[in-house]
Amino acid sequence: MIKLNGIYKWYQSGINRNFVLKDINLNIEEGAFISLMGPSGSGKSTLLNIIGMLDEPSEGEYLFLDQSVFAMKERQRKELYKQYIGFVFQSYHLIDELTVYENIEAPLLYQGVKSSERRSMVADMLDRFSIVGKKDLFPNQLSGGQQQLVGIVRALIAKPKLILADEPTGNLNSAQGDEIMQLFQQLNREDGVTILQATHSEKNAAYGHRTIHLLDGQIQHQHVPL
Amino acid sequence: MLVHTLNQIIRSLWRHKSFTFINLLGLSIGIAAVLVIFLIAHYENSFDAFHSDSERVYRVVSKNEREDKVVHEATVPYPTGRFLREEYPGIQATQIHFASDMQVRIGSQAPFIEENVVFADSLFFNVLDFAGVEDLWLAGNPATALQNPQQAILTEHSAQQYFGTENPVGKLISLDNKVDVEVVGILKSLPQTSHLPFTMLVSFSTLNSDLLSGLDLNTWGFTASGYTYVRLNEGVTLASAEGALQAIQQRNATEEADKKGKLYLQPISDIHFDLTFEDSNPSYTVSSRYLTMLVLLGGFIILIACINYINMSTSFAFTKSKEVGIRKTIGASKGQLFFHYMLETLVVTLSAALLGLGLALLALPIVNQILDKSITVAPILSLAFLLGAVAFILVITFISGVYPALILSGFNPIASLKNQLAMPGKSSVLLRKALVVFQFTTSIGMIICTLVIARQMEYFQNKELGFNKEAVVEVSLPLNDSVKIEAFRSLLQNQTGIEELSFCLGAPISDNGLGVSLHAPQLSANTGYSASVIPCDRAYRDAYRMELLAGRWFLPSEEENIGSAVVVNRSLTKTLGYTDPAEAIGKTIQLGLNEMKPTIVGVTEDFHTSSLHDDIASVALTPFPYFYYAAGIRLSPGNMRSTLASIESAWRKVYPENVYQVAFIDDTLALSYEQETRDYQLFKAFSAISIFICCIGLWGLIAFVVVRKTKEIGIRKVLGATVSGIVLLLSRDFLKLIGIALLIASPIAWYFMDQWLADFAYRTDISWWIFALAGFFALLIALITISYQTIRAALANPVKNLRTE
Ligand SMILES: Nc1ncnc2c1ncn2[C@@H]1O[C@H](COP(=O)(O)OP(=O)(O)OP(=O)(O)O)[C@@H](O)[C@H]1O
Ligand SMILES: [Mg+2]
Repeated sequence: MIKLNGIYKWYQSGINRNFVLKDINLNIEEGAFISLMGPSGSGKSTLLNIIGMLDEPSEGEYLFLDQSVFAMKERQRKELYKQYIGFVFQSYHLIDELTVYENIEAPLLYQGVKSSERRSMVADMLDRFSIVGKKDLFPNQLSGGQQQLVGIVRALIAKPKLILADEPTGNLNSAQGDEIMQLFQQLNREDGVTILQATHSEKNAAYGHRTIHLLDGQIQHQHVPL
Repeated sequence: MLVHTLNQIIRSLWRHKSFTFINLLGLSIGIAAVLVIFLIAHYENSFDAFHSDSERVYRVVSKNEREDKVVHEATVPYPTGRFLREEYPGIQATQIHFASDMQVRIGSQAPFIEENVVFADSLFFNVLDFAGVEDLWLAGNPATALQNPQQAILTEHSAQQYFGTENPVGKLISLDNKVDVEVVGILKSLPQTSHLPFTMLVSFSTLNSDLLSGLDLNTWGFTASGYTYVRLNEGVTLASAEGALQAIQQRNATEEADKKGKLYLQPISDIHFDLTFEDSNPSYTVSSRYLTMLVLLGGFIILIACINYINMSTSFAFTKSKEVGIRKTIGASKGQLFFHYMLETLVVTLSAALLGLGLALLALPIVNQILDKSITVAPILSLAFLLGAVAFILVITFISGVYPALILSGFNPIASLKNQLAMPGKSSVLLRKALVVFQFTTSIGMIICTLVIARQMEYFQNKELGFNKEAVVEVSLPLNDSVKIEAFRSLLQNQTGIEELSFCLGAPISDNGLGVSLHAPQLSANTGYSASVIPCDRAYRDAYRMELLAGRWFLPSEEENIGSAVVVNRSLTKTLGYTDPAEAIGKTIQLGLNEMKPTIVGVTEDFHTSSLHDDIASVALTPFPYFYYAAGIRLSPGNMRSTLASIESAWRKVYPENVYQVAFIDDTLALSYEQETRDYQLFKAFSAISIFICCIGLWGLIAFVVVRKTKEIGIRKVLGATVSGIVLLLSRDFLKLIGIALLIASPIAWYFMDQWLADFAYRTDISWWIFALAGFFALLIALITISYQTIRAALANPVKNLRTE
């Protein structure tokens, strides 16, 4: 599904290049569940942002479903993004002014989904994740775990094929974290969603099929749990 | 989608109330100002627009090229209308006489003065048909109404005023105690937007020599208050009509100078706007430059308000950046976000427009009071206005919204989510500064203009008048009757409280006299010179405390011997070619009044002229009792009230039939600047509005600065900075911008005011302190605006600030 060939990312500071990513080569098949680990500053978020098309590499090739992402026009890339990718953040990034319902509905609005369809899709999700009772609350009326759940539901609403999660459990306690991880596992198994998550926790990483270790912007080794 | 976006926008505006409030306040005041200006401009532009085919309706006007100046007049000889009508069938012409001061009496009631009485012939309604007024005739027959002598048509309003609820038709009205007219028709009240206002129409044939103080209407060369209007039939060209006028002029003119004169046609739609005829128009005249200036003013005010919005929104954008980042990561495209924020601006401008409409409705009565007009909101009920308003709102939305929306929708999602945008970019800071400078340049420019206008007004009111205006009243005499004048004099002879009593035509105001031709050996013979003669008696000098530059006043023997002596003003001696007024003493001039050839015995300082724009004319003062229509009375200080009461009772004994009219000269003079004073008030109000909107914006901007610098302030305080040091630190940037604005505004305002002043014959100079004062004023207001927040920030507890960061 995803193929990265020789991806570099650097920031120019004066005459120096500060490399954040160095020669990343990576293959992610459809249906994979991959964990990305590494010390702070090793480039995990940067890599996720590039894969999520929110950021561009300084050099290298990125193929998404065999199409070269950065050769595309902005508009095409946006379409691809809308259709296939859902983002989950460490700090949940919900829109404060919108209710749970509206936050979840928002991506559908931007995709131009019809109103009746939208209603049933949101209702399905609310039902599936048992948050129907919370649908009229605003983000600040929810606990951190609940907010992250809403964030994930929002990422899932458009039925993405790929979920990019940047430390999704970073702000949660371990019980809440486990729930989220189980949810990911379930999505991966039952719906065939491809998942790429960045995490600092070995335990969470173990939910994945494979762990990639980053150090100073380079892939150090890949590790497949038993 | 649209509903959802709107819903979100409204919630977001509601959440950021103070931001929304500041934006709404600035924009709604700006829109209200523009709306009021629109209504004023619309009112002025709708003058005389209610006649059918008005492009074929003209007024006959005249132009005379004299040696010293070109004289334009809207009044023409009374036979003009008749000649045109009789000789040129393609032209419908109506002749009118405009009486600006007529005594009206109903039955045995007390008489009163009516200011706008029009004597019109039977073609009046053919030429000026008031077709735009529906159901014009409430009573009477339009075909016959003005055909016979002693017929009158009232307007609904005056009918009600004169006769109350009674039916006025068939009732008699006495005019000037000389003639009775019968009411034969009632007109619906006419629009105030007519250059020819009237409360009563009287048939032209009613005019007799008695009503006109013995003047003969059939002579050519006598204009007084005669106006001629024509309606050209279809197919008749302007050139042929003017050719006809030219022929009439040539045939009738007797004097050489008169033959050079020219009659021509002025389109009725120009009358209200052509300052050339300002002095002879029955109603006030508005220059199109004045209207342009008003519209420009409105444009600047709304621009200042838009800039507030831009500045506030771009400052605020950084607070909103995270939201933009989120929206982008859930799939919003740049276009969708751009649309979102444009829509937000549209919601704000629409609400501001509604608020502005309300504000304008509240302000309109005040504006009407200031301007003494009756501007209505009726024009906004038209479809054209609605379309215009929609376009206007869209334009404002576009100006205000595009830049903030571009900034917001252009945010990089990752950077905004990481809060790396906390500091705005360099170019946007620069732009914001430029916009603030623009705002203050405009406001300071307006302040400078206001100050210059104020100076000019003050200059005029305090200018050397050539006489003393304090404690002099003028009482008008309804008849020129020497017996009555003597009776009045003897009644007041021993009255305490009266210092001096003089009989004359009027106060020493140069355009208060009789316009006559002036001849002298020093002047070339066949070019016309003119002078204004003020007939007056010997007591005039003391009554008005005239200053003599040279010579003496008339002697009693000269007063007896009419036409023997004259006192002239400095301008007249200059016309004669003397630089030293004393040289004119003993010279003889000839005046077109009884063909008198008086000798100059004295020279006065130039008098005041009632129009701000005119040069002071040549004036000649000479005893001529046939034109004594006023008494100038100097009162001694103290107990003037009782003196005035005895003057009134003496007057009423002598003229029991007439209306007593009295005025202090100061008041009369003040009245002559009325129009300018009103315009000045309006200008002042708009300047105040513009500086107020600027300050609203400044308030908003400084709020953002304070928030952004909270931590810096804390650190500085811990390091020992003083409160005043911090206030200065926060204010410095803005004060610098205002300084720059002053530097830019000064030359621009100087240029415009120099042009404006050039129109005045007597003008103040623009001194440097005006600019200094304007700058100081702007700085002061800006400082007051920002000091509340800066001082509060500077006084805040530094430790607490640092901890919360
Ligand atoms: N705009 C930028 N300019 C310069 N350097 C940057 C910028 N953004 C990120 N970096 C650098 O890139 C490196 C990688 O950052 P990144 O956020 O990808 O790390 P991370 O592995 O996600 O760390 P963490 O576990 O703390 O989230 C860091 O050293 C950071 O300083
Ligand atoms: Mg990270």
